[in-house]
Amino acid sequence: MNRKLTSVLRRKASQRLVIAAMCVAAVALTVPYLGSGAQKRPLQPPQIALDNAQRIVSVTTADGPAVLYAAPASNGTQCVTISLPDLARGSDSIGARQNGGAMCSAGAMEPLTTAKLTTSMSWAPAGSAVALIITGRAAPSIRRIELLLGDGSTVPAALATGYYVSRLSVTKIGQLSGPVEVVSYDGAGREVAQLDLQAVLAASTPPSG
Amino acid sequence: VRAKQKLLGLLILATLAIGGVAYAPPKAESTVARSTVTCAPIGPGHHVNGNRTGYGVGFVDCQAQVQFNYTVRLYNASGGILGQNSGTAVGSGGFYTPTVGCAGAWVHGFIYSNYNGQGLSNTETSADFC
Repeated sequence: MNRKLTSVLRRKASQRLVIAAMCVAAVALTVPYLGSGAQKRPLQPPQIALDNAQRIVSVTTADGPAVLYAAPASNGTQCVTISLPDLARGSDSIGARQNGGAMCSAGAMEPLTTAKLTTSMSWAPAGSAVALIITGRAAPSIRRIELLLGDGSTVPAALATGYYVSRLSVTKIGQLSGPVEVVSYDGAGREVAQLDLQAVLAASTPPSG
Repeated sequence: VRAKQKLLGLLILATLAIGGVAYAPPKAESTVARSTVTCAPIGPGHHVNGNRTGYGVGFVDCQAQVQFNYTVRLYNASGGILGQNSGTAVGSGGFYTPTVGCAGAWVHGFIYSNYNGQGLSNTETSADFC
């Protein structure tokens, strides 16, 4: 009798162990997919809270003024907006704070860690020419930035709190007028990093042009 | 009874093996994931203001913290580029072209992403009169 009871109890214990192990395996297999499923949520266009925009840095070049603002977005990201006070703008007054374009991301306001320089280029018609606004992030060690043009001349960029902005005039949207390099220097005047904008543009342009 | 016990034992071993695979070290998992990363160009759109100006907008989602190149454009119906923003970004982001005059044009948005040489684009299918 005792043997029979022991056998039944053992069998039941084994069955429970199997069920428990299968549950653990099922959870383990499911959790990673739950994670990636959450990442696959469709992105919604964020509304940029331009009324809360904070001015970061501004510059007036021979080609005109340009201002960068930092603004929160409705989806929890941070946006850097570009303002070109002399160009087309939306019908409301705050629209002028992003009339040069905008970039929004989760890490937009965090200091750069791996890359020393990043860049973004915006093109907009400006009279008979096209305004090209060159902005980006700079590592904390960078104290000065300039654009080195193909003819050897340089155009200074305004730099503050890890952001830089400069402006050139070109003839066509989506193109540069020649080689342009973003060159950065540390406090001692030593070169820290360079960015070849023609290479960045080539990698950013679809094969169809 | 012994055959049943052996079967149960095998089931337990198989289950534990599956569990072990599921709990593989994160490093091995991320190596596989990184090799399959794509930076999806999502939701190209546009906005037309009341004063006959407008801008294009688009998003890129890489689902990993990788650096990619992007271009967002506002086009007219004949394929002319009215405004553009291009550059580099990390992970994911939303991008807006400058606001440009677009009076009399049918406008639509476009977004392109390039991660590791893999270029992907997305063109907005609807347009608005500016």
